[in-house]
Amino acid sequence: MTLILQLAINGLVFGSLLGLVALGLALVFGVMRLVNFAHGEFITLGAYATYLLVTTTGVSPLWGIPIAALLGATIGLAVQMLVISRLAGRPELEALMATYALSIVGLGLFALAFGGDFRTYSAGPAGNVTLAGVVVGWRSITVLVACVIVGAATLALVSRARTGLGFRAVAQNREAAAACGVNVVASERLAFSVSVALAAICGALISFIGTTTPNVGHEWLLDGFVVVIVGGLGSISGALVAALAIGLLHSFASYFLDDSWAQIMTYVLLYVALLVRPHGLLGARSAT
Amino acid sequence: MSCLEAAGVRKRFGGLHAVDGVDFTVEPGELVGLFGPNGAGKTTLFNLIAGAYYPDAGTIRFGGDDVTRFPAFRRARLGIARTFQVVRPFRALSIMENLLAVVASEGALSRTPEQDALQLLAGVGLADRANDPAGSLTLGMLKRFEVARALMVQPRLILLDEPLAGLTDGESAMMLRLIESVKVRAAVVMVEHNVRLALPLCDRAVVMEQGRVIAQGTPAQIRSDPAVIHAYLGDTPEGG
Repeated sequence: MTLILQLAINGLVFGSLLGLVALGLALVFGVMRLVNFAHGEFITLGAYATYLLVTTTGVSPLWGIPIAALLGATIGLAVQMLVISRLAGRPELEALMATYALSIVGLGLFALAFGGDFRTYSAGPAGNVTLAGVVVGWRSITVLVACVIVGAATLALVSRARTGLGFRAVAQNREAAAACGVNVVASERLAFSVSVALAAICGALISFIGTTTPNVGHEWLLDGFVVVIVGGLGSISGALVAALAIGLLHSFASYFLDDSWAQIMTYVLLYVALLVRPHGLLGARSAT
Repeated sequence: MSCLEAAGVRKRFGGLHAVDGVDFTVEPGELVGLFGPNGAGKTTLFNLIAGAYYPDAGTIRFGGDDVTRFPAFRRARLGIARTFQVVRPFRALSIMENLLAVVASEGALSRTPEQDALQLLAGVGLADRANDPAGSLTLGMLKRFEVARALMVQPRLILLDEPLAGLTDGESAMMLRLIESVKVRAAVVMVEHNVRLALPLCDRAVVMEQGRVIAQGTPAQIRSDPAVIHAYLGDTPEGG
């Protein structure tokens, strides 16, 4: 029983981070119908920003969360205005190529700046708490709490009637949305900027419990895509359910089998989900 | 003061002068029909007023404001609403959500948008479909739904882009009655191919050919205008 609880909590921590990755992907896909392959590099950005902050100034890594968010929002806005805004109305393949190119550039820049070393730091909350025999690190608790707070704040923004309907209107028809008085350009900037801020926050949290390498974000992104697809493209609530499910699956599979099996089972789940519920766990059936 | 005042408006696509120096005004409460053969430039003029694109020359004033360079959403917020020739509902949203996504024009923000929406839907005969996804409606319903969505803007000017296109006779009759009721709320500019059905509704009709206004006046004047007859019947089967 203790073991089950232990694994469940590990899965919850992993799942909540995955949920935050997926939330950012789903937000951009939901508003702009854009698959952002560069999302992983924005995660890496947050991780390195936090690493540098902690190792050069010695402050608590908790400061990495707001700093990464701010940095992400700013860089996200710039990338949206310089690159992404030019993709509106272009064929989907061009948009895919553009974000893929951004991702490659990002990977290259991080490798150039930091080399391939594994970066970690020891500052910040440390130690464990033992609850009913279950050992949980303070770092994991911090990550879980931060994910819940950040996720809830994002959901509050998106589900505000006006913002939410505006986002969905933009996603479905930009011209009609504009004719209805919705500021399409501002909606897209906001969505992308918030999405990148979320990615950077994920990075800050990942640097906290793991190691930072130039492709740390890239690795998370693949699982993030699985979550978004299993949850239903663009469905935020579906993605959150899928994230927790995959987090738990991963945790149990890697204990009882091993890490490779956890990966394999994640993709088996993707396959099954596409067969059984092609529009996502909670997806509408008529996603026309 | 005129509701809408376009002066010397030009728009060129490549070598084609789609709109070639047009003056066009709409008075408050007026229903103006915009007619002309295919390629006359009426849809281009319509889109210039709606803000889908900007003119190469000339000015467009709405109320007191120069809106020549205003993007479409700002014009909507000032009170210019529109429908589309090919309907553009937010298909995955319910009819009600479609209407609630509208940002009402400035100064007209309602405290009870749901009630307003229901009232407008009742006005276009769709009250019982409020919770259905927009994608489930027939074309005739969607055409009327777009009028309701445009009215949700609380506009002072409403632009109807071929409101009768694709409708059956019964649906057309319904749409014509609807357009008459819309006139009470806002000035109307209507682009329409079906001159026979649409002309009698108009306070004033403007006829364009090859990017220019060739005639304007009351429906009776337009029917007997030699330039109009020539433009529509012409010397060639195409008529311009």
